[in-house]
Amino acid sequence: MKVGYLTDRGRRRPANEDAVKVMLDKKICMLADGVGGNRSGEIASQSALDALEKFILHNPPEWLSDSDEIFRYFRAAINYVNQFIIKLSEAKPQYAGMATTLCFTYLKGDTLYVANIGDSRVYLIHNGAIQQITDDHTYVNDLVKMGAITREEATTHARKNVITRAIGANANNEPDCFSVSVQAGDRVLLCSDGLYDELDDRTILAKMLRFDDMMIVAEDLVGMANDNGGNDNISVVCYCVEE
Amino acid sequence: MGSRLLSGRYELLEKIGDGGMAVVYKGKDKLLNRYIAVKILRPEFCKDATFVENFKRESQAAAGLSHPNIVGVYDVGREGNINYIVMELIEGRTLNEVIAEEAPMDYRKVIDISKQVASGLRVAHKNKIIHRDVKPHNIMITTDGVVKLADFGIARAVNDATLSTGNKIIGSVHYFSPEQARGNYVDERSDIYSLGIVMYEMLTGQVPFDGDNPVSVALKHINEEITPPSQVVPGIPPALERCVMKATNKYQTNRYSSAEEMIEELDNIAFVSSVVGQDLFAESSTVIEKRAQRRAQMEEDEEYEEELRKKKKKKKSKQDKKKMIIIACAAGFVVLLIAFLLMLKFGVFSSTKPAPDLSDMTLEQAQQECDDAGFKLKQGKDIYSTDVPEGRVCQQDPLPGEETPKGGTITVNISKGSKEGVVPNVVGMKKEDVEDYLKQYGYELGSVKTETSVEKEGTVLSQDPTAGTKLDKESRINITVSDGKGKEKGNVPAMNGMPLSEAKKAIAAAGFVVGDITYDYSDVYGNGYVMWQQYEANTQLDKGTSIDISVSKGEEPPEPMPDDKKKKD
Repeated sequence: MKVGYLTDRGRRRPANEDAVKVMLDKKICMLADGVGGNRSGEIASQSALDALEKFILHNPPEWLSDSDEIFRYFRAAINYVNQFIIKLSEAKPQYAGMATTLCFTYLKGDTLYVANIGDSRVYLIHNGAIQQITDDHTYVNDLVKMGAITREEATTHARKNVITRAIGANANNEPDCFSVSVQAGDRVLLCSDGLYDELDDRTILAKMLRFDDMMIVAEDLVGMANDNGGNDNISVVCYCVEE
Repeated sequence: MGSRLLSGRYELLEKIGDGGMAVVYKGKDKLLNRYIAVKILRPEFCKDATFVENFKRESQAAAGLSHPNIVGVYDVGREGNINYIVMELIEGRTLNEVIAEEAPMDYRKVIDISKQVASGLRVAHKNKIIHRDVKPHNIMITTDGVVKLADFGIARAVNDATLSTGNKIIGSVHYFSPEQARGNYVDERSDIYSLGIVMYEMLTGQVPFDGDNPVSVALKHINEEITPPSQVVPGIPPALERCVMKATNKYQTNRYSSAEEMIEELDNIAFVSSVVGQDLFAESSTVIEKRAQRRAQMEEDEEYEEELRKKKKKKKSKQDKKKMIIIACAAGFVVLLIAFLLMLKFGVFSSTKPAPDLSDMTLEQAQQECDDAGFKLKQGKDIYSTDVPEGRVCQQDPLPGEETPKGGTITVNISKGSKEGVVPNVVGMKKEDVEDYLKQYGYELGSVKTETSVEKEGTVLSQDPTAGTKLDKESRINITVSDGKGKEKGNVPAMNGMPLSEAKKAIAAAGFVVGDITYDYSDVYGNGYVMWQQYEANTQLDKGTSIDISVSKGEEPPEPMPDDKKKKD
């Protein structure tokens, strides 16, 4: 697995509240986008990934056989991370209410397993086409799905960045789990909203296929998102599926 | 912080509030020697220059608003890294607390509070400031009963800045207008909607729309009709109920066009109710229920209401000329009384009236029409109709023009639109979700067949008719679901030469179970290593099958002891 990853403050935000982590030998990649002031967003996202890593190291996923078991494992992992963040947020007053989005992928054989909470995304590039695997847990996306507003209305909605699920206190933390079959040559992208708010799917697709070195792809994506405004923190993890 | 002076002038005394964006202190203005409230923006918001700029701009705009019903903003400032606003100090309670203690509240008090809020809004709107976050938490009531609207502009500052403050977890949307929920154009009438919801809550003690998550509440604001408050708490004056319903209309154009207009209406209601007395209103709802015994009384009530409505209509065009209204209303009242007595005397009083024509109206229009004509409206069934568009009246009973007892009930059936629909896809869904899902599209669940498959138990494998078929609604859709008992195939791992513990893991990992383990001598395999497996490596087998293995216990001892040799199978 060739992996490229990068997290960047962007151009407008005072701090970087995103975090990424790659567990190469486990073929697990993860990304979190923190919510909350007083630097607690940073703490939330980084701690969530540390907790998830710890869970995975203590409970190796190699022996899981089918998607049922893997999804159960994902839910257990997220539950663990959630408890961890809640405990942390109760420990210090300035951490109160902190939360984070979390998405991670697990590549096993020719299947990609994905778990997601919040508005970070996982894309799959397969046969030259880009497909968004995850579903944004945002207020506007829920409205669109229910047919209350159109996609066009959603792009200008005043509450575009309001998320409906998150890891942490006072939030719905039910993950969505996905499995999708992949083949050698497919590319996978995890990213925070700072990337997809600046780049449309077509641009992301073109950038994902432009270089074979995934580290360069990551730098390219983040660079372009910054050129387009860099209004939020930008994070990407991208990798290529091999034989 | 006690001894610290902000800008050399404001002394912070004690913390009195702690909100999401700011902390509020009670303070003292040393220059003017008066108590004040100081709101200090949380440091995390201060890092964002755009946000601070918006916050300042909006606060300064609010500072330009001077009105008894708006919390006064005295000063907006910054010292070092601290951004603050100095405000009027309010000794009292928030409307939120009042509602928690007193709701359902006396309608006169509701009118009084609503008028004061509307007065505050009127001034703000005239200055082109929209509050955007009218809710009981932002409405203060002083110990003298003066209502103060707080937090002007902060909501706006936050909204403008959402892009640069990143994600936020969704909060309460109970007082959102439909256009705010949808993210559409927001104007004065959005504040009027929110005020209508606040009035509803004061009258009934509950908000009209609630749900287990904010999105469902927002959707209700967009889609669902509000249950009239009188159905929740009886005895609400009908005119006041109409006022709430009008303020909370889904369409901006159907609401009061300004706070001014709403105040006028509230004045009328307050005035008429003070002339007629509360009993009339309090009884009107119970009377309807006990119609048989109290018919005559009710007819009187209706006459009053009719009169009230006429006066209102006349008044709408006029400006706020209180004296004129009082004279007109009093005169009208006397005329009505005389007319009523005359009618009684000459037996002109007819007890029936032709039913109005409600066809093709929306439920709201029909309700209005019935209200105007003095009938009650009852929503009957929802039925299919190819001619009448969805949501409109397509049948009524009694028919238009039929003589109907006054105050009688007209039942209307509402069109569900055309009967033909398109079958949705349910393949891949869970069985228990299918029925509700089909219902949303107007279809029923038909037979459910079970088939053996590797899909998770209860997963829909196929449907008949298939998705996309054009089919009359209410038809049945048959489905086939998986019993989950189908076996997935797995490949038998190659274990010869593996240590036993690893072989066990390999069997489990491939989805099989370890069968019998026998131990035998071997001079090829070392002690503890697998030397035989029941099935050859890479054989395809159902997952869950047991695989026997035999394990070497090392070289045979020098003296052969054939009796010891055991071999299974």
